[in-house]
Amino acid sequence: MDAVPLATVLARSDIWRGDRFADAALPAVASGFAALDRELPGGGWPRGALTELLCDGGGQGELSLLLPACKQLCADDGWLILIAPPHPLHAGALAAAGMPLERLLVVEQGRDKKELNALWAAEQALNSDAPAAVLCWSMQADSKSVRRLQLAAAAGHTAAFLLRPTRATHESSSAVLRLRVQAQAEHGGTLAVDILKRRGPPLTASLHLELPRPAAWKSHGRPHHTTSFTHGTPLARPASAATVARHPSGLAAG
Amino acid sequence: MPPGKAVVEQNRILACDVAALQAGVRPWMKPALARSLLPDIAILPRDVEAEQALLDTLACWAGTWTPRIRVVPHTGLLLEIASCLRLFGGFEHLHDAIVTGLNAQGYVVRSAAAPVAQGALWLTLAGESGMRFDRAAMSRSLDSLSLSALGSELPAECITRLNSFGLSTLGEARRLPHSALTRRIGAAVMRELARAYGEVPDLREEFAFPARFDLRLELPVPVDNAEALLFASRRLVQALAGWLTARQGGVRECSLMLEHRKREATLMPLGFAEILRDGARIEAILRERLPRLELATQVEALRLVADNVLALPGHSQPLFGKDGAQAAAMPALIERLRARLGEAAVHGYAPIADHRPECVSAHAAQGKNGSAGIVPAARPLYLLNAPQTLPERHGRPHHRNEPLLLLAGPERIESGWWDAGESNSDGRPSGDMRRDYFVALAPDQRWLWIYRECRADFDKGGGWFLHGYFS
Amino acid sequence: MKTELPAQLPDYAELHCLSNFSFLRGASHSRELIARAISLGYRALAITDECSVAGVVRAFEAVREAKTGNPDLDFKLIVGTEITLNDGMRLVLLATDRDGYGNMTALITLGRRNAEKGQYRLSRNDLAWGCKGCIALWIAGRDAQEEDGRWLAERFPGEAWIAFERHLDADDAERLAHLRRFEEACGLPLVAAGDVHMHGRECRPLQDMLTALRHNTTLDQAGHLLFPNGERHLRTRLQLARLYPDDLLAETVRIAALCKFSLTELRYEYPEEVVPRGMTPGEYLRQETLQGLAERYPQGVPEKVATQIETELALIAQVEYEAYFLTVYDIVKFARSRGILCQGRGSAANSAVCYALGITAVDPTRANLLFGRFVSVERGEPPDIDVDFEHQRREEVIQYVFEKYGRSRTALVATVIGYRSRSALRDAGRALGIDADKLNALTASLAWWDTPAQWPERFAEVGLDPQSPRIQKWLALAPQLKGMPRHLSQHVGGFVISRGRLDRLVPIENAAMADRNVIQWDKDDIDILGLMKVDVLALGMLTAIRKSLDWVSWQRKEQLLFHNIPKEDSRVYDMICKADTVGVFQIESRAQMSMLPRLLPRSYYDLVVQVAIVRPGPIQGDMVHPYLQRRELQRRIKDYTPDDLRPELATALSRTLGIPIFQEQVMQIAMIAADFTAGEADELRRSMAAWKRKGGIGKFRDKLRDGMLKNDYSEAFFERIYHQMEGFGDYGFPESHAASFALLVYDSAWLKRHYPEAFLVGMLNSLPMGFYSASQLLQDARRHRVDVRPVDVAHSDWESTLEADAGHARDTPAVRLGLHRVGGLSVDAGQRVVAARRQQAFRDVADLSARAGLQRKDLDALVAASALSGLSGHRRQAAWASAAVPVQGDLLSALPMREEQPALPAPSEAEDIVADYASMSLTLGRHPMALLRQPLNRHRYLSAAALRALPDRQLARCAGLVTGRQRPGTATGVVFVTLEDETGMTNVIVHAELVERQHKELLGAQLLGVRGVVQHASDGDVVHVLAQYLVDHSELLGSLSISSRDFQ
Repeated sequence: MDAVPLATVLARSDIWRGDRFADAALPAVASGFAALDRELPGGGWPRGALTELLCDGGGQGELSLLLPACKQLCADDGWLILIAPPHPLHAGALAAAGMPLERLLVVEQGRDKKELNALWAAEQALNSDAPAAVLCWSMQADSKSVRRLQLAAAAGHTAAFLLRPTRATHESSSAVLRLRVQAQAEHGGTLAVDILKRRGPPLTASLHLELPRPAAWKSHGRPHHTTSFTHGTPLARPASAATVARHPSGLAAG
Repeated sequence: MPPGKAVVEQNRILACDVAALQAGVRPWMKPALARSLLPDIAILPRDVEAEQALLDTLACWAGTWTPRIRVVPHTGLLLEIASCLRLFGGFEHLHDAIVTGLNAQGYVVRSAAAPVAQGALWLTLAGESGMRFDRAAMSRSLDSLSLSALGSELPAECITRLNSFGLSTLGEARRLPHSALTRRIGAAVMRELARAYGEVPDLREEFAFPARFDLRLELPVPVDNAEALLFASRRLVQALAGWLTARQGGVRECSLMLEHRKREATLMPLGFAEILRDGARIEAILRERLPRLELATQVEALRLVADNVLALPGHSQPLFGKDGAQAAAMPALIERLRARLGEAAVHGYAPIADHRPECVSAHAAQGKNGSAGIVPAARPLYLLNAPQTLPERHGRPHHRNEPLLLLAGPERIESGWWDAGESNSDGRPSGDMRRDYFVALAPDQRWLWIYRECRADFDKGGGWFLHGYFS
Repeated sequence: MKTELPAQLPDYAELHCLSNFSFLRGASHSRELIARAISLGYRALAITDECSVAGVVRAFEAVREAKTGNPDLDFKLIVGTEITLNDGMRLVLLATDRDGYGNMTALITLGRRNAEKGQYRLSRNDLAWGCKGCIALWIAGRDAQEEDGRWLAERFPGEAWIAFERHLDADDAERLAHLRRFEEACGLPLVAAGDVHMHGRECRPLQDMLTALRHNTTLDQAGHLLFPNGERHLRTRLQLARLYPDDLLAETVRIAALCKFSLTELRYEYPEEVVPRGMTPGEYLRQETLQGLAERYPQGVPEKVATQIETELALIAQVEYEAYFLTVYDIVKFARSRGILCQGRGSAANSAVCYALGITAVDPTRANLLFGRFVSVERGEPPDIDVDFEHQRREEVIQYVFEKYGRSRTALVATVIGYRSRSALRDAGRALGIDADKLNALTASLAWWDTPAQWPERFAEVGLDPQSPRIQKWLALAPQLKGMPRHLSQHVGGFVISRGRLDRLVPIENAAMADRNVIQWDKDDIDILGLMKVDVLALGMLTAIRKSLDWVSWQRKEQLLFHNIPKEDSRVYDMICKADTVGVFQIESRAQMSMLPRLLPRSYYDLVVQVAIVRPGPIQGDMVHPYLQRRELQRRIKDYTPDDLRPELATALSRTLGIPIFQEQVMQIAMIAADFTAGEADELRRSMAAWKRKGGIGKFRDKLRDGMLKNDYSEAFFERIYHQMEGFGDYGFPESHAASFALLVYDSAWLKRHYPEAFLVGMLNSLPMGFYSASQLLQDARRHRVDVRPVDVAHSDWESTLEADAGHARDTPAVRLGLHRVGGLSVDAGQRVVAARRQQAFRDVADLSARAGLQRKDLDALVAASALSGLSGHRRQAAWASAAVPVQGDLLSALPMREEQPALPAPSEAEDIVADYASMSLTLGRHPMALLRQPLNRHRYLSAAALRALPDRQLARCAGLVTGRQRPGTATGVVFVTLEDETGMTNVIVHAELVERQHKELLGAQLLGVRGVVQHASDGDVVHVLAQYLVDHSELLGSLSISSRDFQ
């Protein structure tokens, strides 16, 4: 009954695992991106610590980046709390991405945009040590509030993420891990990830992560398709379906 | 005219209210005929379980008067009052108190008293009210009872047979030779008769007051005003008081649950400064609390739960997974967040199967295990509440002054005509939509979900809109 | 509008299209699909209903009509079917030739026969050898596997394609790429297809609604069960050009060209075994006809008949229908060999040949009918003979047919059950999520006569706001749902019998009844394809006549045969003219009875008219009154001929005094007066017959009007003829049917007039049938001085019988009610009682119970019917005695007990009457109303008899038990109520306005009091009361309460 699962034992930072981050590693959960996991101390997102993600606006791909790990955490009856997401979430898409919705809690920003509420909620969540993962978006978090969150996270087992705009890149931060993420055109719409801070040796090169997207979309995203599309007939003017160009694949609107 | 109500069993009306009677509705009519007489009549199926539950409630309540009670299934209550007559100041007073108490709860009562329990029951069923003080008086009354009045007590077959001999009263039947009659209607029925006349003892089980008080009361119509709730909850409180009396105890706390349709029940814990048994004091607390309650929606049922003072908390520990031990702290966290941020700001999602993108997420009080089925195609994780207009230049949609590159599409969504023109309460947009969706790449490399509004025939394009971000 | 069109619109053939015969899937009628496909310039359309070809004949018909209007039309109908195998693989099969079609129908039959009614089940095993002659389109789903494609390619070498169906889903491009890979891997070419569920986008709401209903859910809840858009319709070729690569579109046309099968190739082959070896069908038919003729006319065949026979035989030979007549003859011969009474009707039935073969009894010498040709050479339609059999014995005939021709060659014709007003309203409401209580309340409050225009009013009555968006949609969609087919049921008796395997002609399904199979086509489909069916119908009156005749023969001590009933007996017509026709075939209804004293039938042909005149056709054409006026003139003026009858119409109309009564006459008028060709007239007839299927005769209106006006007929005459045609659409009743029915009218009237006892017995033993209950028949018979004796175990047989005993005063026998009247007594127990009594009379109840092996409920049933009175006294004594009798299965069957009989008082008269009704639905005691005469007198209510004596237009009050309420479709809003008392029946007319005002009394009363005005029909005994005020007096009945016959 009381046997501790092996994974839990291995996840503890004080147990030697033989990789190069060993002495610095926190318990971690695999990110689901092998290329990224290789570069993260502990082989994944740290638990019991705050990770800071710098990205501008919603929709860079940050959710796709975090969801595999969240999914993993929730699979074991853990809860995911999303605090002040920049846009409403699409339950169907979350479910399709494998998130068990019954383990998901959203704390809305609130109409009055009381940022403090979001940070307060995040701190409460981390203090309670109840959720397995917390994602908190904040435009105005300062180094003091980051520090508070890191402290709260360190006292528990929650994987904590703070999402902030990239203008905070140069602010000091007590988060144990800092990354900057940005969507990019090269390589057919991948996500560029720069690891700004980690326990262990610094990493200068960007990582380019493939996000799960239908292949067909990406092939259209290649530059030569761009031109073929643009020099075709205008898509919507004159306002008639008859003006829609044939796509190279043979498919167009009817 | 107020709309009437009728209860139906096996496609026949069993009972109806005054409004229905006035419109010409009668027991034994078919519901269709009743409807043609009173189009608005509410026809309800008989709910035997609810009837039984009600009798149990009333049995608890009757604990106030006597601990010796028998519940006659689907029929009524038998109270043993001989031993407590003096305590309550004689039959008249006791009877008045019981009837008044029931009337106050909205019940109409038929009753009779007799030296034999079964005899009293039969007299009641036959509508022969009043008190018979001795056996002889009771026997005389029983003799004159019509057999047809005992339809619920004697097998229908037996009554039919007695009628076929030309007998219509109990007395006539009892005047026939005993052995000859026994041969024809069976010993079991003869024993029932003897029991009613007190010729054989009645050894049936008495009502056992439950160890835990848990009563539910379905409201006849959904209610959202405190006054009506107070009236309804009085029944439960009275029953609690009776139960406490019979169990010779009291409570320090109990909880009232207000149940809604399709929503979690609203919980109202009632704590008392001392151990209580008095229904009136509990009512007084409710009178304070109920009007202040903000109800999100109408209440369909009330439930009052009280555990024995001595009993241990009843709920069992759920099984937790690896992170489940932590998760056990979630309810407390949710309560804390809600307390500060308000109910609406802290929610889960319940997916709803609908082709219209706006309709697929509903806020759920907490995380809900939805059954959205398969999401038909890749959908953006962020979906804007209000789609943003995108300007069109040179025939192409633009975002932040830059042309968008269409990666995939169109995906045509054309659905929802059935709720067009309706306002709905939960904020979901409604109505028919006709859109062609595209996946577009924005100049800042974000992947957008955009659509073009279509006219009915899809020949004329409407405007462009941004509806979501893949992320 | 500036648009860039493709240089040329591509040719296209839609190969995957469901009609509404894919129940609750397809939203369009085949007719609509064909019309749209033609207007879009498709080269072909395949109707591929799910495991069915039930909708294909309608499509065939639509194409044929389109080609009639436009002979250059290049459009092909392809016959196919969509099937989903049990492992989920979805295929469309298209028939390329006759053999492929046969394989396909056999496969559908296999699938249907393997599953419950309405379902099918097919597996890959069933397609192990493919389906030769069929092209297979693989409707590859998103999870399709290459190996599935390879499996298919092996089964359909060179005849399988992968269908790419594009409906603007998000993953269209991926799917196409995916399928292109399969194309190479499996060697299966790609083709475009549409998975069409509706003819136009505008049907999306209806299609969504059908989907919700199919899944038994509401639209709000249906979610992804619905299609995400309305793309599954017949799209323009411009749209298709943009949606599909060119090669995929070109492939559709190539496949269409490979599908050479047409339904015209279906040739019906008559069964062979009806002709003895060594004879041709023609020889055998001639032999049997001449032999029958000799029996019909023992004194020699009249010249006229002999000539007619020759003409008919020549015509039959010309169209090769010998085998058909012989098939019917064979069935009739079987019935006669078993003593089962039968009679044919229909155009072909009233031929001299059918008379000679014994199929019908309409004697060509006696009938002054001027039937048109009974089969039409140029129309090529199959002859029409319906044969009615005794209803209790029809099953023997059906089993004979199944046995003789075998189940693989015989099946019943289908009847398409579709949505009707009420079910459409109900289901549309269900799909829209209307509260179930409200829905119930609404459908309950909807009177069966309400028209959709009255719906909003009814909505308001049950508290639904007709203006709310939801209700508006309900009101808009329910009429669209109306007429949608819902499932196939079995036709009452139409058989298709083939020479070879029937399942290669048309798929066969399981019917709801065990041991019954139905084909997937209905009688109109059969008609259009020129296939043959034999109608084996059930008619209660034949049973009653046969049973009555048996008793008449017993009474006369010589056999009286059906055909030997003396003809044209004036006493019979006297009775008919007085409307004394309770129980008489056809002319017993309220409306018929009120017509009799006005029409005053005096001959067989008058009866033919009488039977046909009280029908929607003549009534809507306003032909009834003119006809009655001329009857009146005819009676008064010797050799009356209508002066306004134009000579060219004389052949058509002179027999009905210049007034068109029959459907045949209206057709003739169209040809004579409006210059319709035979073909056009036939088209008109079809449209009248298949009213609902083809949407009326509106398209003939202009032609009819122009033609008639051109030939100098009046506008008014045209209007009446046109309305009459519309009326025939609702309920066509041709003269050829009336002629056969009139024979039974006369026969049953003759029996009632001369042998009322035997007639009553025949009727009682044939119930349920006809218009009246046992009680009403009995009351009527007793008014005709028939002596009826009660049920008694000491005397009664199972059925009711006649009894003659020496001691009886009158020379006519008495009717003894049979044990069958005893409610709750099983047939077996009743027959054991009769058998035991035949051995030895019963000593007492215990003896009866022991020897007849009775159970308690049997004994109780006999007590309740007072059938033990001979053994143990009145009802209560019998009850007392039987209650102590040990019965079958009683473990405590003790020795006979000595005990004293207690004094039980005899039941009162009222109690006995109530008990009689409760047990037997009739009483031999006084009429219950007789017991209430005193209170009724206090209310100044008159008896039915007293009412008859009152002068016309007198104000009066009457009261009686409500035995019937009727709302004829033709009389707007009026309800006819029949009241019964101890002196007879009173007919009450309640006008619409009063119906509305006194709804409650009208519907609720068992005993109804009426204040109103007496109305005498012109002359005769029938009295009506035109109600002004109704009173519910049911309370007077008290314990006498008896259930009246229910509404309608």
